[in-house]
Amino acid sequence: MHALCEAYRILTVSGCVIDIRPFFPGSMSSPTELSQKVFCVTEEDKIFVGTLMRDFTKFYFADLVIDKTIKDNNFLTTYDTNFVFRYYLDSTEVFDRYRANCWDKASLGPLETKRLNLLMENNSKAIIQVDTPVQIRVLKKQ
Amino acid sequence: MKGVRVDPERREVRLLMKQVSFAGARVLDIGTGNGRLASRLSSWIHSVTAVDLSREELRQAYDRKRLDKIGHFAVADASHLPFRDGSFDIALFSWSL
Repeated sequence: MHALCEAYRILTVSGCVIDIRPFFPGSMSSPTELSQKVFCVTEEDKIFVGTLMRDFTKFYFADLVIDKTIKDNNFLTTYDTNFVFRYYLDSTEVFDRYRANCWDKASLGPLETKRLNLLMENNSKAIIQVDTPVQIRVLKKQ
Repeated sequence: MKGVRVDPERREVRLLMKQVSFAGARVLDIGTGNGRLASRLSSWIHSVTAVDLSREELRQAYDRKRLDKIGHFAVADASHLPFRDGSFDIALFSWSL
């Protein structure tokens, strides 16, 4: 992971790397199965619609390389946590555009899409919420 | 993008503030994209140098008002950074490593 080597070089003696990335639970069998959950949020309720299908392969395999690089390049992990990173989108049109332009064309299943469209049509003030599990690590230069 | 709110609760920054001392820090934001995170950290840091391979995304970062006075921008490859050794206090990789 040459980027980490470069990061080590440009950091001061007491510098640190902050790495923020999607979080893959250890039990996952496939890198594309990152759970990015989609909800329709109405005035009364938050309704789970489905999970986005998106290819996170590059991040999953980067994880494996990074752990080795951290050891080789004298970084010490001083902080490691996961949290839910949240997006709010005002309409299905915005949701479609954002998925196409920013989320590697991530897709929702046909039934889930139909359900989401119906929920949004029937609730004028509803918005779409997407929850992504994210990991933050702080790596201290040694 | 209009109609999208990204982490409006600022969870990401709140977690980082508890763990990292940003006061007066020189930050290198590698793969900055549209500069969202750098912009949110701007109140606390000394300066941010934002690099990305995409001129288009870098332009979006450049246009953020919060980065006006403290931001520097460069098209650069993370594996060959055009900076001297020991130039920064924090190297930030947000979905870019």
